[in-house]
Amino acid sequence: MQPVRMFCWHFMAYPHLPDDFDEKNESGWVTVPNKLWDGEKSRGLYQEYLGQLAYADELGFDGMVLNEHHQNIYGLMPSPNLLASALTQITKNGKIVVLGNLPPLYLNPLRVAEEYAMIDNMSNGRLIAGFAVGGGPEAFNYNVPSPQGRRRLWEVIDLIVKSWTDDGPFSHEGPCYPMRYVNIWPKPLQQPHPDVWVPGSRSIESMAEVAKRGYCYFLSSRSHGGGTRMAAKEFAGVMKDHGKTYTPFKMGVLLSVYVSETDEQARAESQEGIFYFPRNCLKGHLRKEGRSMTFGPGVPSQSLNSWEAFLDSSRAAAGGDLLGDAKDWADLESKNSIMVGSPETVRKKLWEFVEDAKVGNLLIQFQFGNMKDELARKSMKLFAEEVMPAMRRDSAELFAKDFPMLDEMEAANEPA
Amino acid sequence: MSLRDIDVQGRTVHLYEAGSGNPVLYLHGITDMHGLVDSNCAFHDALAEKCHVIAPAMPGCVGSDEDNSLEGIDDLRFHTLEVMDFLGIEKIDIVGNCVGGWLAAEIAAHNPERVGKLVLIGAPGLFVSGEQIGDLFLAVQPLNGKIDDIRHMMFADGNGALAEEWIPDQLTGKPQGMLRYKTFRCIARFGFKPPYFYDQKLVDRLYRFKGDALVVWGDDDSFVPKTHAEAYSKGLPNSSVEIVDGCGHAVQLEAPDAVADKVTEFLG
Repeated sequence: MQPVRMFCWHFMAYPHLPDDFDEKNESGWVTVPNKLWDGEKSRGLYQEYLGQLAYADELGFDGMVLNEHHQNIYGLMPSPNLLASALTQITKNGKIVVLGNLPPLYLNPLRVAEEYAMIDNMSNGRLIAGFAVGGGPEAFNYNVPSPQGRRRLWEVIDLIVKSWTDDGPFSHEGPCYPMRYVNIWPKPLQQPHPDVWVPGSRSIESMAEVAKRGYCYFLSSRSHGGGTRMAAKEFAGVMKDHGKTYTPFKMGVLLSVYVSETDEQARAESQEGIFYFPRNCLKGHLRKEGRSMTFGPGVPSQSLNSWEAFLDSSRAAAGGDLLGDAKDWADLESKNSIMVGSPETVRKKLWEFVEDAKVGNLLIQFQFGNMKDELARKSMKLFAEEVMPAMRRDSAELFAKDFPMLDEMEAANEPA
Repeated sequence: MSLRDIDVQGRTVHLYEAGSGNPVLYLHGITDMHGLVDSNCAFHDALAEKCHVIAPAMPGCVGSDEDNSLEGIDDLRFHTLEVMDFLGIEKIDIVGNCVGGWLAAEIAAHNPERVGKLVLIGAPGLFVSGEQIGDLFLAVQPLNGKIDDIRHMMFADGNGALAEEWIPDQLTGKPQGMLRYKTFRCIARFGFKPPYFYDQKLVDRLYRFKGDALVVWGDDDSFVPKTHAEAYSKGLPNSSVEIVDGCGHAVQLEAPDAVADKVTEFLG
């Protein structure tokens, strides 16, 4: 029986901001002045971050997760494929999850099909191919208005998967990307094609598109176990409506963890890095203060339905707190997606989460903001040695009990 | 005054009509569509004292259906011609404000036979080197819960009561919030991506419209710089420019009577 899968997620934040960054800047996104980039201090930064992901592979994580963001201090990965390419050469076993490329931003999205196929070959078939529409900030720095973005995304995903599975050359009619000759070289190694993951924040439209194609739904909005359980239940319902069967491995969720010897030590060691993340990196994105480019009335990346839901929600009415508004540990931990403590504490919290949500792909952030390399590595090691084994053992039992069809699917060699 | 929905090629278009006399097609902008605030538009009312005002709401605005095929100003031009066809309008005077002014200029250049007299108020649509049209969409993103920047971009007195009334901070009043969201969503479809609110070739095509044209601009327009008024006037062979002192981009809200006087006098 397949146990819960634990991946190491990285944002690759810019760690060298001045102490008065928050005071002097209205956003960490799009317009954040790039004179703040310190070339000398940043020498070796990508090597350090890639090294942490390679270390995750050594420690036995199920994979490494990259993502695409532009013009911000939150994530220095405008091209996750370059980093994925590096990972193919310095890792051996784990999946390389690119979550995801943002194809609506590109003139010719077949470039994504080609690069993903290259990464799949270079990694000996370890790619998980993610596709996303991009958030509000990407709309601004790449000139993509959101109503068109969504329409383009699904045309692109279908075109790319077809370019992997169908023999070329074939023509594609459009409407957004008409092409006369679709005939990519190389083709991906994995058959029929690498797994496809698509992030969403609980909009029913996105869930339906993911479900009817049988792809994996990644819940990008952080939530606690109960909220994730609700999302999983909604997604399972949508899958059922499309004649598919939900399993825990059809869904992923983003969590953050810091483990140290004791609870006190965990807080003391991670405090600086963890709070650097909401205060600076989430400013302009998921924080009330600062210019929002995620929830504005101009070009947010939401559908009409999601905007209506936002106007309905207590968060809009009260101007309620976002993750970036967390001021202290109590605030932060009330969100429940950030777990800090001794191995025992984290094991307990994570198990409660898995037991509640029954989601099979846990994408876990270990490095926060300006957290030092040795601390991130220590936390990963403790997690791998003292949390991961119990999680694997207990989740395999839990899933066997709650999802008996997983065994049959495995026997029939169907992808779970 | 009457409000009704018409069916144009399967799409619902919300239509405002008022007044009698010389028919005028009013193409709205960001702040001035009927139904956006409870007290209707003072400018519409002033215009309706002299003319028969016909004002369709753009796709997605007020009660009009969204149109997912709308991707550029040309699509909006076709849509508007279809509205005119439906209403049996062969040729009509057009008053276009803000993005509605750009739309009016496009119609005049492409289909001059459909346009009597032309009035452009604070219209984007032209490229003037070094005189950039403002980033409306960034300006409307809230900063610490306030959307001051868009108020200052639209109004000469961005802190005044008029600006507050038309562009309130609260995004949460649901009907209002949805109306505004949908307006920006509509405008984003043709103005968000480059070219940013202009058509590089329009200026050299304006000569095709030989009719009389009036170009009205607020002296202190922070969205479309005043220099664009001159550029329009240069392109339109029979045109004149009127600058309204003490006003910003939303000149027809800031000085409704003065602007309506100029417009009705010009339309005759």
